[in-house]
Amino acid sequence: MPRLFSRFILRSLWHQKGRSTITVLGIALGVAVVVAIRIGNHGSIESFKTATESIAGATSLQITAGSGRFDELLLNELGWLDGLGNVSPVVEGQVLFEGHDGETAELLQVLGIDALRDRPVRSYYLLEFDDRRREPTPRQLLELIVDLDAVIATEKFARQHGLAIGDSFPVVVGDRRRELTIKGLLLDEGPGRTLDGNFLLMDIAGAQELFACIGQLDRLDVRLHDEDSLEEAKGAIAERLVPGLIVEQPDDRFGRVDRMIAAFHFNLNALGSVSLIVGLFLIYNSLTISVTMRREEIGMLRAVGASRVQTASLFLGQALLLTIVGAGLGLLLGRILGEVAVRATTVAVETFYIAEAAVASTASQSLRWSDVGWALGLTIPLGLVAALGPALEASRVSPLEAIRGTGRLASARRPSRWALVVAGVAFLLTTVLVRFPSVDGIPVWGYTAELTLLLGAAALVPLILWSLCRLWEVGASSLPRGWRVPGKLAGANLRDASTRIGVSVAALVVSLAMMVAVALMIASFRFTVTYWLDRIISADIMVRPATLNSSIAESQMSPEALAILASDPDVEAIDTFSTRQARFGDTLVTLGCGDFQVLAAKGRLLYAAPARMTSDDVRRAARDGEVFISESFSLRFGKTVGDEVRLPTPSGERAFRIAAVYYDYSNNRGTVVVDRRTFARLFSPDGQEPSPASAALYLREGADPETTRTRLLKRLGENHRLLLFTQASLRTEVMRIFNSTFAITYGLQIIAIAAAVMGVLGTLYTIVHERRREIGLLGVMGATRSQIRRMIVLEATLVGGASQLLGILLGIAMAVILVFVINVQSFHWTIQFRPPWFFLAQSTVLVILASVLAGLYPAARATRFRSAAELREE
Amino acid sequence: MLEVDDVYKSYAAADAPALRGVSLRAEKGDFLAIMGPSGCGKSTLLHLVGAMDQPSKGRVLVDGRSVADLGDDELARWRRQKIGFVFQFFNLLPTLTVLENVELPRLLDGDNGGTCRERAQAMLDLVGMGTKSRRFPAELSGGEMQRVAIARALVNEPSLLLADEPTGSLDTENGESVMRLLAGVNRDLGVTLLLATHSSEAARHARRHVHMRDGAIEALTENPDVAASV
Amino acid sequence: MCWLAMMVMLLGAEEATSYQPTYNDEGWREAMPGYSFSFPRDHASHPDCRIEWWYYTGNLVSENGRRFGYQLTFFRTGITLEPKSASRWAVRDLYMTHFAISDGSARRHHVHERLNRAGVGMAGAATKHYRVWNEGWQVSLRGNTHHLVAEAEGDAIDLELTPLKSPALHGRDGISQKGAKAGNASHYYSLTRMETKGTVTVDGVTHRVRGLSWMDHEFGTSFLEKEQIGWDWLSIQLDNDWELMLYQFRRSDGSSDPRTSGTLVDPEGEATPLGAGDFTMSPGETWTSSASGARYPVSWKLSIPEQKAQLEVRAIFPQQEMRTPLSTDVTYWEGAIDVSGTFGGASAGGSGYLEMTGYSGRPLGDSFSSDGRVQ
Repeated sequence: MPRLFSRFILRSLWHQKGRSTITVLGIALGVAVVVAIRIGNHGSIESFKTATESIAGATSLQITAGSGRFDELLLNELGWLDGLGNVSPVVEGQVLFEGHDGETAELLQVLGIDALRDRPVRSYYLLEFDDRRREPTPRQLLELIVDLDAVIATEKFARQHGLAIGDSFPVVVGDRRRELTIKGLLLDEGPGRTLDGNFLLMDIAGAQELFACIGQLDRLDVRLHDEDSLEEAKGAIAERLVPGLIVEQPDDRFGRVDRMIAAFHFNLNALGSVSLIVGLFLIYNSLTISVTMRREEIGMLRAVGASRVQTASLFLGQALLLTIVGAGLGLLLGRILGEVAVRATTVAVETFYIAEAAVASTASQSLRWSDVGWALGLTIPLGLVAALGPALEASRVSPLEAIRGTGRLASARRPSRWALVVAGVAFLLTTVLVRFPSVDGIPVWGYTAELTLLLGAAALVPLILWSLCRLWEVGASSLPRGWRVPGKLAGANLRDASTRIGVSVAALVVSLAMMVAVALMIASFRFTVTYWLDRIISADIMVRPATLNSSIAESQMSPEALAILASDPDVEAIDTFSTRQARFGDTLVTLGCGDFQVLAAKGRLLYAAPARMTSDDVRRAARDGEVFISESFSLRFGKTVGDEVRLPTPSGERAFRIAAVYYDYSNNRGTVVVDRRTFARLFSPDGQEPSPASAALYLREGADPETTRTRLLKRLGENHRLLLFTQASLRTEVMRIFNSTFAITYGLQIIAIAAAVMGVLGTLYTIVHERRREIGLLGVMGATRSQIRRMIVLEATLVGGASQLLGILLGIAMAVILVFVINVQSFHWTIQFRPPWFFLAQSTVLVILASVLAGLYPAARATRFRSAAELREE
Repeated sequence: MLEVDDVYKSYAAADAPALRGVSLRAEKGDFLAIMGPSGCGKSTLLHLVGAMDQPSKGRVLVDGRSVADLGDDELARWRRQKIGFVFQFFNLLPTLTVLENVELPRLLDGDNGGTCRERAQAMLDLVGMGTKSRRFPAELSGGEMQRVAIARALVNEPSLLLADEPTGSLDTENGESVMRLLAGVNRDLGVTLLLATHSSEAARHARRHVHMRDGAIEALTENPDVAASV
Repeated sequence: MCWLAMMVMLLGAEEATSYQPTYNDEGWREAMPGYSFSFPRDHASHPDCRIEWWYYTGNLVSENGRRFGYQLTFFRTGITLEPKSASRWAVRDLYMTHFAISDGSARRHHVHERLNRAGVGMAGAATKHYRVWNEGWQVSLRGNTHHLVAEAEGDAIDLELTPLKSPALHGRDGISQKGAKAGNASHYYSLTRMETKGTVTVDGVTHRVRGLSWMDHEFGTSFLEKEQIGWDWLSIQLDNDWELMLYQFRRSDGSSDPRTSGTLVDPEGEATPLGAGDFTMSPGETWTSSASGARYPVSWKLSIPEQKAQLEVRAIFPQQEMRTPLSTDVTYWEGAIDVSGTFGGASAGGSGYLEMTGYSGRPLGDSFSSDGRVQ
């Protein structure tokens, strides 16, 4: 069998180098995209996980406030904890490191500890510390970092940026610039592995100064004396903890972030698998072409004694080979694409989720055995399934076909009406599935509905194609002279082959439909966001710290910067907004804090409920300590006006009545907004109003925003790194983020369509090959070369046009599910349905043009079949 | 060794049955030429004997064994072990060398060893193509290709060799040469040979002539030239 | 005794006007003559001095005759006189505490240590009243009674110490000169005889105990000089109501140090300073620690000719080495001793504590010299 395989299959693959390459590349592309997404997803999750784990050290339990920091004096009420384990207080945060070129900006995780109490929890190994040992004593470690600006950086970070012990480097915290001095270098072990070396160790006092949180702690890391009694200890601690504090395992924190990003990753995976499906379709296509073109050879093989199993195995082997080579190539390609994907998803994750998870490390982007196993384990079975049809067909080739020389395929019949039943059932399922709720925030049923919709539509494709050809044949008589006969023939030929080419066309339809659906969804989303922005932006200048382009909790504006803004003669009012993460159930939400008085006077929100919200209503909500929730919060947790939300406060969980639901497309984690006075009263550990994360400036009548912006920037100078947006520049910025978020989806679509077009090209080529005798006969009967060429090109155009038509119809249906089911379930916001007509028209022209081009090659081939030799066989 | 007993064969699409009660016997080493115009049913008869098709009615026995009750896999094995086929259009694989084409039936039979090549080379020597074993089919003339096809048909030492218009694609000279080769094989190796042809030139070498018309045997005659020479 | 206390008080009041404190480059106050003590105020912390310690040792016996020694020492080392941050975690002082119990019957030595910054109140030394603590370990003053508590891993003490004599000031005006340079000295006084009762817990078993304790309190800014590799110090409480404190510096060149000195306290509580020429201390039998490799003399011969005193000092058992990797990272020997011999011509016995430093690892001068920082 191996020799037979090598002679009958390998040699033929070699002779068909072009086609084999296209197939392998198609599979490789599909696998690469999926693997790249996998690597990307894994990268962002893994780096967060590594960060959590390496920072956690030997921590068994962590005590945190459900939201934000807590008063360090609470530590004095927790003396009993010492009996259970070692307690290490921690202040944590992120700073931005700006490289010398001013281009690179890296996020650094800062861990502030009390070296004297941290020893049992974490070990620090230093480079160039001592000849005898690399781990300093607690006291030595403290002496190293006791200065407020002293940090221990990682060896890796220092090497990358050419820094050494004793060097100072600037970082940005919120809007403030700070100089930090390297006092030691951590080896790539333990906490030094956090975020691939983007880690700074500080004294807890220095960290409190850096993050302007004197008197507050982020958490207590507890290492139990008895690790085995973790659950009991957790229970015991939870029972005795003061209100406002919670105890959990380090993993729990990771779990919350993981859950938050899971939906995003699921969506990417779903899109990525489309490219894989297209790759598998290519296998089917390639095998079909092989079996069709080699029918007589197969017949001969059968005549000289090849059994059906032997014949089928040969072609399954061909599929296996193509799949393995494709998958192997795809893995390598995926590794390269992975980095691109990481960058792309990082932007999205960072924009919409959490900065910690977005700092993807290069180390976690390597190809793992699980990726290899996964790629092969998924593509090989699917590849074999795709090849099963053609392989069975090959096994059914009668030996007589070799003798008679009648490699003509049957089924000139009308496509089976069973397709109607299949489609009916599939569509029925679709309508049922869209009503199911999400599973853990992942729209599993929504995607299943998309799949059943696709399957139903695919089943209908041959029948629809057949019907369309009938219509075309009727219409062909009104074509211009010279096109009439080729037109009629093309229609008849396609109708005749509609079952045969059904799968190829269905694959093209699916690819086009996916493109249309995604384009539709993005266009709708874009329209919605633009509309929302226009409605809600009322301030003249929007301000936020430059540290991050994301919703990081740490990003704060300093009082000095605010004072500069407030003292400008043209600034009439300032509305500030601050955010922080808050635990809500087993996940995280954003707790926002705004000035309801300014909102009542100046601001505009787009309310989803109640129908009318007057300024007085806003003031009343402020007075009664009520909250506003974002639409995503409302959809995600099923809450609306009049309901209560329970939020963690320093004095324990409290219930807040919801006064309104507002539209918000800047964050889909769900936001609860409280008035700043309520915040100071109930949420702040020190009774202070929080440092704002952003501000909106309302200018005096007649002031020019651009002039004011320039003046403010000048006055803020280098010491305060703030971004100031006028209404126009904010719109541009939002759209920039928007586009970068969706860049990857377009990339995937282009790959899928390219693969599908290759498939259709192959299919057309096959039909022409099958019909070579008929075509030869046409020539004998007097058809001119140009007539034959026209016929074939028309066939290709018909296939392309029909596919695009069906693709648009199916795409719209899919987009409806995407927008109204999947989007709502995974992103928790509603968007307005807005078809991008121009894009649809444009893509239609493109697809038809591509089809015409795709028809030219088979057309050129067909005219060569006119030799008498082709006819002699009849 | 071959017994065709009252065989009928009809195709769904056709108006009339292709075979209507054909009965025929051949002994080991026999050489029958089935003759008749196009559509008389001679090819159909050959396919049934060659286990490529099943009769609608009646029995075909080869070496006392009916192929009617064999499954597809057994039929395939039957074909590769008992029967050798020579086609009008040679049906050589263009991507394989002459030698590789001849090896094919042995490979299908699971022979991957050295005997495979030896046998194939021996068969090529036998048909006079021994020196061209490394060539590709496209480099050969029609007559040469048919010789290779004959070597391929013989490589598994079949007891029955079926030739369907083997000279149909050849000129007179080459046709005659191929027929002489087939006759020699029949004579020297004792292989039972069934030849379907409408060419009386080709049939000249057969021991007996079976004349068919409209799916039935019209007459069975001894070929006095050959019979005399035996 | 009462008049002496009054004299001391008067002296203090008088001297206060003439005392001119001096400060080092970093602003820490140096120990200079002329300082006037006042109690209980001076039990409390002196945060203007960089280094300060409160040292308690004692020899105790349980109701069923089991012999214990204990040591509880609180160190405070100033890091930054005025931290630049308002954060409670900003390090002004480091608090190190050594806690040891010598179980004489089992010949086992239990050592524990703590190291903390003040933070949110994990450790500290009060200034207005006498209270020094490090996590749960604490010494505080109630009336005239010192209350000591410490607990770690099944070992604990809970003791009440009542001084039987007024504080004895060492050296001149309580200035213990440690180095040649003025200011390389400490303010140093002792409570030499404190009646002690309470409990000692060893390995989870609590014993009611009685006995005598000794308290030292020293504060200053720089103590040792680089050449001083260590000291041998001992405190002795004799059965005849006399107490004796002796210490000698060992220099790196092997010569004797002129700052070697001692104090003799008579039954009335009057302290007499002893100079280097007034006594001799000669090491006897040695014991080598397998953990540190250091060789300690665990018996000594003392001679004070003027007092007609010939005393033999012997550790109750040799294994009383202190290794403190987490706090001071210093290894020294500190243990209970028995004393026998003659004093004032008559035979005398007693007990006390012996401290021997600089026999292993880094010289103590590093920890307690003027630059302050641990290298």
